[in-house]
Amino acid sequence: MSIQATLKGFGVTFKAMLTKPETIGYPEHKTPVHPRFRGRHRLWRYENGLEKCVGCSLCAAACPSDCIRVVAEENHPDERVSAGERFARIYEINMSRCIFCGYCEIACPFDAITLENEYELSEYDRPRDLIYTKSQLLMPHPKSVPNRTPEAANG
Amino acid sequence: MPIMNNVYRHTTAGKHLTDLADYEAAGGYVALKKALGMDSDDVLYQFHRSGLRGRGGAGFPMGRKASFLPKDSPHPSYVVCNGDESEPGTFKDREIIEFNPFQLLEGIVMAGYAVRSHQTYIYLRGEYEHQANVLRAALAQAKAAGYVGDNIAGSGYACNVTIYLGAGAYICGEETALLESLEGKRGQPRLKPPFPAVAGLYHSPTLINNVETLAALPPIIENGGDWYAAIGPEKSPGSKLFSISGHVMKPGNYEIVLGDTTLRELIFDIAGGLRPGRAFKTCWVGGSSVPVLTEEHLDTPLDYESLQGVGTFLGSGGCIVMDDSGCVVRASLRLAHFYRHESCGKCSPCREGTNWMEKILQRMVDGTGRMEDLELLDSLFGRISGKTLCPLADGAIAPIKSSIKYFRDDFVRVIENGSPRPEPMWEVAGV
Amino acid sequence: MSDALPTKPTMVTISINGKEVQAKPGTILVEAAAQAGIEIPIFCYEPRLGPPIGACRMCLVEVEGMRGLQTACSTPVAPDMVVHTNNEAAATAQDGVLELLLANHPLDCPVCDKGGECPLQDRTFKFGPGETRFVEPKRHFPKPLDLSTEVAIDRERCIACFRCIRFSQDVSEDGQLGFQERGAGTEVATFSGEPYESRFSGNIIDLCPVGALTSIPYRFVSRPWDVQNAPSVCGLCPVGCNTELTMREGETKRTTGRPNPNMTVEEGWLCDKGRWGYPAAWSADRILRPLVRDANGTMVETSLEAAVDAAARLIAASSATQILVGAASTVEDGFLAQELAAVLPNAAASRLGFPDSADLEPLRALPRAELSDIDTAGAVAVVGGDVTNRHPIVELRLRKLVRNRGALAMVGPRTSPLDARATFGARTAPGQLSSGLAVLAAALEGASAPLIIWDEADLANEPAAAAELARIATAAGARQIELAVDVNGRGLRALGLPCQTAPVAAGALVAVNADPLESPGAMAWADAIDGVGAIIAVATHRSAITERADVVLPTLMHHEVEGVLVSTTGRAQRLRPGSRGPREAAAAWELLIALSHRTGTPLPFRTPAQAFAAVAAARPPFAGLSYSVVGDEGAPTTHVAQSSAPQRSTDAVGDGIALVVTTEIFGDAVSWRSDALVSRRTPAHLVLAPQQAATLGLVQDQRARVSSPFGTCILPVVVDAQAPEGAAFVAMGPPASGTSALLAGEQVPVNVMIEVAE
Repeated sequence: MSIQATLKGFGVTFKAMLTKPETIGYPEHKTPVHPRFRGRHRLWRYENGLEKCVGCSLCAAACPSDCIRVVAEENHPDERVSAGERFARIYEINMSRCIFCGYCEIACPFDAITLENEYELSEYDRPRDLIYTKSQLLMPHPKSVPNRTPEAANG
Repeated sequence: MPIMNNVYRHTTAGKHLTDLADYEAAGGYVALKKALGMDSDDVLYQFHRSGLRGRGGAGFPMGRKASFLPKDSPHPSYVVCNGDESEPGTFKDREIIEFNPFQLLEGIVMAGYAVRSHQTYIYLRGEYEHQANVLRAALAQAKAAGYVGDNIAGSGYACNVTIYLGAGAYICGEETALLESLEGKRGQPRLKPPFPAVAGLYHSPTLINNVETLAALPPIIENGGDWYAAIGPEKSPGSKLFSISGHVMKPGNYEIVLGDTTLRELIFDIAGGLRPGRAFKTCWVGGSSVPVLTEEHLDTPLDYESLQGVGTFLGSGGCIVMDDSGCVVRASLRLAHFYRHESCGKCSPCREGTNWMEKILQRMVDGTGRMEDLELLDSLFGRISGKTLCPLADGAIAPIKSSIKYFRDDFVRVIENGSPRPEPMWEVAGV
Repeated sequence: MSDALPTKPTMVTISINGKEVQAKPGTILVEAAAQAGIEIPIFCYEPRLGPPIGACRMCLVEVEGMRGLQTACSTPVAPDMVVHTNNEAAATAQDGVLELLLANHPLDCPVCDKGGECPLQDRTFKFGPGETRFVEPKRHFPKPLDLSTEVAIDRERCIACFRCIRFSQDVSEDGQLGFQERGAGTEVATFSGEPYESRFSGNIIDLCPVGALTSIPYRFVSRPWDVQNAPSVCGLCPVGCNTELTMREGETKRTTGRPNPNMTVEEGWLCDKGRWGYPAAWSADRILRPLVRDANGTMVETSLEAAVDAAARLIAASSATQILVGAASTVEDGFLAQELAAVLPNAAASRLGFPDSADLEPLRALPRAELSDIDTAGAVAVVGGDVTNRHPIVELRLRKLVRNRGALAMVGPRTSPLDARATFGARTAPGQLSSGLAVLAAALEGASAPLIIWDEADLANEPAAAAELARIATAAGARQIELAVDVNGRGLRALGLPCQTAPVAAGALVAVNADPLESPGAMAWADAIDGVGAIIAVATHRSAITERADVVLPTLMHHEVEGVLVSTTGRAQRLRPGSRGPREAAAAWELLIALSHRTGTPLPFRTPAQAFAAVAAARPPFAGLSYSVVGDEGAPTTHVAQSSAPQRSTDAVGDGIALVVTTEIFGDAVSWRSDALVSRRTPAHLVLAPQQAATLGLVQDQRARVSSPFGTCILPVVVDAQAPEGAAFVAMGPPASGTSALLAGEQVPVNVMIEVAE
């Protein structure tokens, strides 16, 4: 081993010492994600408050990890839940099985389900906390995540 | 003027023959007596010799059709007269039934004798209430005189005639739909084969012919089939009633020898021409379900072959004339509306296609048409035409398709600007 | 080999898409292509509905030499025919028809119950346009409307294929469905807007190629990819219709006809009871937990383990044990009951149901026929019975026979909707079947492939008529179909299980799906039941016996178990579970094996398949059968003459007028338990002819006290001008109506006294 090689190695080290560190102070600071990052699911409503989901189960059909369960029921004319004839009485996602592939989002004919950016999904109890119910999925996730802006992504 | 009047007796006699004595005085029932003295097969042969083609629209030789009935069927055979004259612009059968009912009754009994049937039916369209009453009165007279019933004219041949009124559906002019309706079912065409000649009314051999066809039979027997075959061109022998209506001065029924008269003569000489100051635009020569003709076709002789030569059909002989005050697109919409309304709904292409066609034309007339609608219509025609059980859908397409072909500029103008409401029709007859 | 004589070719060769296909002459192109693995899209074509009608125009193909395109559903093959189903002309036409069909078809597939199993969807994907050019607003109808209490109609989705209408008019012949309006406004409706009421109404749901007709009990319940389907058999009547059970999350959600129907049995048709009987599984009186009587005499819920232990202890403590198997039990249940009785000390197994009769042996010895043989028979004679209510699918076969111009003769005391279609008919007085048989001889004489269909109960009570009928049938060369009384009566009889007609005396009684307190002879049982030491009820629902039992073991219904049932024509057919059943319930076969283990006399079986293999080895009628031989389609059992069948007493017992019983199709326990059939249920009632009612001083809807030597019940009166005079017709109704008290355990003919009930 020559001295030259040693100096070359240290050269890299010294150069790196002068750059700004990439470390992010999580959890005080969260890693920004790209807009198309696939995180936690969200069910959506129309502006008039009706659920977009009609309980068609296509998401369940598309799901490769079989983590979605939909039980539909007929809308009552006086108490409409969704915009269609049927609605999802039960809509559950087993988050401990979900692989965040986004097929449910692609399968959905009404854009009722989307994958948002939140990734902080750890819980203490699988059956109690990790089976997300419809009412949970209809709410935005309490722990929002900063989005990586295009400028940030490029720079 | 080449108007001819030797087939339908009321024109020869110059008066309404609703009384049996008048009809007999005009030469009626001579032919039936002659026929009953002949062998059934000879009568049928004379029909065959005459070359008489079905006057309902399809133009199939009547004698050939009658010869298709099996002679060894275990079921009784029937003769059915198609009097469901619903084609827009056609009112020739009405004339025969109303003014010359005995000739029809004589003809249908004669046809019954030829195919060894003892029960015949006359199916009239639901709206022909008055005509049915005239026919019923004539039938009562004929029965009383022994021209209908048991032992007709002392020959020992028995034949009953039953008059049946439809419920007002265009589709029941189609022979198998008529048979369904006559059986008391919903009027919808049947799958063919089997053809009515083999399995028609009540699944039995059935001869089904138009009023005009059957009414032409007595003169054929009286004078011989060859006499009839000698009238007019070889392939379209005989004379035919033409109903002319629309923008002409003298609308009405005219009996003309096929091939002798041109369309121009029919419109401008026989029917008195157009209103003063108007130019010929188009005409539907054989009822509303045939391709339209333009000025360049006016010199076509009126017979089956010549009209086919210019891309249209003789059809039922209901000639509707339109002068330059009319809008072709609006007329197409009106026809599309008619066929959408009258489609029975059995075949998917017709049920949905006529509906779609009307909607597209409606948009055009409303001024919201698109240029690509013309291509869409053309593609739609291809998807409907020839894909259905009966010719209704083809009849709906033919006039519109040909209108687009001949009057594309009119369609383009309407797509761009919409179509204004036309002037009132009653001005036409100068009322 | 000599020069072959010119004979009619048995097969014709045609070319479809360049592929050589052999087909029998007369085969329809669609079928010929399907045999060669080529799919021609269809909607209206359904051979079970009669001749093709060519309405939907979906199957247009090009046949060389024929003008225009042809409908493959109506074109028979001809020698050297060259057919193109996918060239440009045909493909464009098919694409065009689909585009037109979809023009007004709503795209609510995500909402529609048919989505995922929809022929219109499938064919659009395979043959149709990718995009529509229809920009106008689509047609709208009010939706969904109830066509009946079980069938919903969505007219927007209807493609007017005529299937439901043809079923109504040409198969069930109720004539209620038709088209209203015409053209693009065509809609399916009943003539008067009344609900569609037919015993077979559910079949139109199976027939509908789109989601226009859907099942209300199954509405929005699941999607095709959420479920598992199991081919099974209906266990509600002895006909044994082949069904498909749809299971989601462990529960049966739907019963349908099989996608590939068993043409020998039910031809794909189901009656509405068979289709909507499954909700009886979660009726309020379903036994969900095992019960054991404690020291205070109250029933307490316990675990299945503990309950089986308790039952075993009771059996072990008894000097004698009687195992009573109910009439709907599987062959395996009956066999394991026999095996258990064989290993227990002083034990016997018997069945509850219609008793054996030696007098029926000459009829049973005649060659057997299948239900499909009815279609092609020249003449069929139906002697006794009530096919409309008790063997509903046989009615459809008989209607088809008449449509096929076969002669139908109906002889018996009960009126039937088929009477109007019968060529020969004789309404005989009760007990006088012989008087109607003379006409049968004339009907069957000289007919091709004649058949007799005879009712087990009616002929067992008239040995002279049975002998006469056997003689007539033999002379005419007729084959026979028995109308069995009990669901699996034939199977249990073939096992050699004797029928229990009198109450057992002492020891332990194990009642497996059997309630003698709600069966004929109930009064005698009620008197004797206190003498029974211990009662172990293996039951699905609460009944009189479960109230009296010391141990109640919850068990599974016919759509929840594995097993074999023998149909009325003698076909062994497999039940497959379409539901897991209640958590604390077990199949009867499993409970019987468990009891054998806990009583220290273990049986060498672990599965019903093993038990059935042992049945095949040990019982001659089942020789050669196994689960794989029975398969999906079933296999016939062999009739073995019973040497020991007892002679029955057939003299009518009691004073008054003759009692004629039947059970209406929706009058049995299942119909009363299924909430899908709420509007269809019929209670027990007494039908009298007008003269008879007047003599007794009874009018319509009045309550009558009916008494036989065995018991009494009070029933509402229905006066029916069609009913023959001189007899009391009782529709049995659900068990709670108490009508079975009128009958003796032997089910001998009974006369009843009728008076006005105060």
